[in-house]
Amino acid sequence: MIRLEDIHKTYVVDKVGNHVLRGVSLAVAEGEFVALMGASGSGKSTLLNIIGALDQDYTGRAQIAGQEVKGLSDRALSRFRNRTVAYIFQQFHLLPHLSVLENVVMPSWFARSGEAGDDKALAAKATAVLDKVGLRHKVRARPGHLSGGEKQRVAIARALFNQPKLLLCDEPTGALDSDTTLKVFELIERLNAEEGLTVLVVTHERDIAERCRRIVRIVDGAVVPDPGPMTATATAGAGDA
Amino acid sequence: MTLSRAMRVVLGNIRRNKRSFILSSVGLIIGVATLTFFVSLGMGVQSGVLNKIYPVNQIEIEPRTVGIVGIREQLVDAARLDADMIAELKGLPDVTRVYPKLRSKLQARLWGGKSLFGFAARTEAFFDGLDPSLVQDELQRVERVDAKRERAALRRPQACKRDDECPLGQVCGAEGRCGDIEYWRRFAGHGIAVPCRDADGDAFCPPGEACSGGVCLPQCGEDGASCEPGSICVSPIDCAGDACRPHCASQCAADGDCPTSHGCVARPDGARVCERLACELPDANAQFSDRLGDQAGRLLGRCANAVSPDSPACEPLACPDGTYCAGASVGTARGYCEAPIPVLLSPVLLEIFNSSVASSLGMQRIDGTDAMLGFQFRMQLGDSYFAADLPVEMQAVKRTEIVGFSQKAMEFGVTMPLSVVRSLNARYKGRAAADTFDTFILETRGNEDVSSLIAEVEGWGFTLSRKSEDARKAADLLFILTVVFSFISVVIMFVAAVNIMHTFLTLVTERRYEIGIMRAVGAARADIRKLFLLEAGVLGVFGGVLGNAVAWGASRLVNWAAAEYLQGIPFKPDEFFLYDWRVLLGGVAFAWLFCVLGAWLPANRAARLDPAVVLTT
Repeated sequence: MIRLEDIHKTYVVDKVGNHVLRGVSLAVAEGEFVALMGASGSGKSTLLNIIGALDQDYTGRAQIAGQEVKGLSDRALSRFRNRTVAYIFQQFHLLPHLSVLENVVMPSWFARSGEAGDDKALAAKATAVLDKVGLRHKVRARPGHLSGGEKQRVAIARALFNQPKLLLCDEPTGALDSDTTLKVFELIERLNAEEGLTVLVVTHERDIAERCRRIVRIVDGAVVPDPGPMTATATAGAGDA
Repeated sequence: MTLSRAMRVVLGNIRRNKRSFILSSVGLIIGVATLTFFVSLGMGVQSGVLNKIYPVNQIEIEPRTVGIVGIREQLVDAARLDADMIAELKGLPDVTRVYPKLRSKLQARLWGGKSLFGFAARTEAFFDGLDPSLVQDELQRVERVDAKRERAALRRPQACKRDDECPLGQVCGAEGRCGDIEYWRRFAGHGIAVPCRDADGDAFCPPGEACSGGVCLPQCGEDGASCEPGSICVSPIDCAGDACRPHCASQCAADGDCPTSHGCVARPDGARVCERLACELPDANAQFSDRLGDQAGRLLGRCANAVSPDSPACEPLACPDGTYCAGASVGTARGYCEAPIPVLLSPVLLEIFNSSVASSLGMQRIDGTDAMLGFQFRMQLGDSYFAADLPVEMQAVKRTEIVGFSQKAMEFGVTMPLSVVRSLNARYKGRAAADTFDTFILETRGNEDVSSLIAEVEGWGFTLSRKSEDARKAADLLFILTVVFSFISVVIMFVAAVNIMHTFLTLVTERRYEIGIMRAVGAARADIRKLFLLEAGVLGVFGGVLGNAVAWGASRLVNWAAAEYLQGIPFKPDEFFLYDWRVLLGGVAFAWLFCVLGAWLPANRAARLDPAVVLTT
């Protein structure tokens, strides 16, 4: 599902370069549930953005779902983000002026003409997805009236709406209390287990990471073997499938 | 992203940013309102005022004059301004019609108006003549003939035998029913009886007419070849010698087939033709009587009863309705029945009367033209306050009747049908004065032909008449003013566009997370750009439509103020503005364009936002 080869990324701020990723190679198989761990600033989120085709300013090769994403046109990249990958953010990133239902159907706005279906079909599909995350009763609510856990579940519903192949979670439980964290994570686990969704979770919480089937640790922009009970299957500069 | 979806998103965005939307549109509304208002005003004044004075496809030309040691000389020989010149002008490639105008060459006085002013006004008379076909449309419009006919269609016509049996403003029609007078119809070729001296031959008759039995009549040869269809060539009855030239006369069966001033007369050869009705006044002084009834006269050679006209039992007949007995000269009681000479007045004359004369002389102002239509006054030809009078036998009194108002009428005088002025000029100044013209109105196919035509005729020694020149100058001034105000409105809209750019830059900053989220879930740069430009477009259309509405409201206010406070100007247009759909659409299009231009930079900035940076900072 994911094949990264020798990914380098440098941020330049005030003419000073910050080499964030230093030759990352990584392979993730379809249906895997992988935790990406590392300290703040280690490059986890940067790597997630590259995998999610949000960031194109890097060197190396990134093949996601069988597609070489670097060099794609803006239109093709947008379609890739719309159909193949989905994001869940720590801050939920819901649009406050839209209802829960509208937030969930938002990806359909950018689908190709004739691909999305009519309003009625979209609403039915969104309701079904919301049902899956346990928020069917909140379709008309505004995000401002939801709890943190509910907001994140709406974000998950939005992510699932276009039935992506890859779910990228950037510290999805970072803004939630422990009870809610557990519930949200259980939902993500269930999606992986029941729907075969490939999940990549960026987290710095050890107990969350340990619930994943595999942990990839990033230290100073490079993938290093995980010292914990689970085994890292990738090393800096040499990925495997 | 489909357009309908994008529009729904945009409308949602507008709803939550109402205040900035409205504030951004204020400048735009003012700009569009200014543009629409002044362009519509310019077009309205052009079509409602200038084009009525001189349509853009008509120019009036006159011979150019140059000053030589204090004396002005025409560059075109006056003798050349004749029918041949009309033919030459007609031959110009862009000219479709040529209308000659002829000024009077004789002195005259006017008096009358006691019923209108309370006393008889007296003035020197100046008049000119023009082709009736030039003003027919204008006369009907001023008289509001369409409205008159609509009103007439709603009421039951009254049966009648004579005009005086009909209500005021109506006449007894040929079918024996009263009908509204349409005064404009009276401004047509008018056969006044112009006396001539047989001894002078045709020298004092207009071209095409001959002196026959003391009156100028359409000339013909013995074979009648030169008469119009329906007319035959006849010689005066009871007349012998060289003076009894043959003339054309219309064939008829009864009096009703002839003009009102003519009767159907049986000739010795059995032919029946229309001849002028000879009449006699009680005495020559009756021509000066204030009572119009005194000029009804008595028909000569006709009786109401079936007896010989020479019989003492003959019951006299008066001149027919609509005519009076016009003496051959001021000292002669005998003459012919004639309808009054139809005249047109210039609206300028009425405006001057209302604005200056009425207040100076303590008279009532005349509101509108209806009160003036049908009003009669008298003209003494050959008499003058300023110049030497002609011999009494040359002077004649004629009735005139106001039948309309025209912008093409003489400003300080009256305008008659061209044929009347030609007859009078010939009678008093000889045939040459009737044969040559003073100015020509040239009509072209389209507006674009006019400039080249002016250049062409200037090469012939002509120049634009003062009125035509003034109209062109006014049109140029109007154009410049319209351009200046349009430029000002464009500047206002440019400032509005800068304001819109600022507003949209703020919106981009405010919505950067929103943009980032949209990009993360699949929005392309073009989608983001489309959303902002569409929002700007909606703002533009909103501002444009509202700007047009403000302009329309302001124009109603101006029209109302003009109607309320400029009542002394009777010929001001009811509508100063011309709202062409292209102007309205242009206003909206301008607003849309400026909005989109203003939002272009912010929209591109929004489209270029890096979602990775936006969502992780």
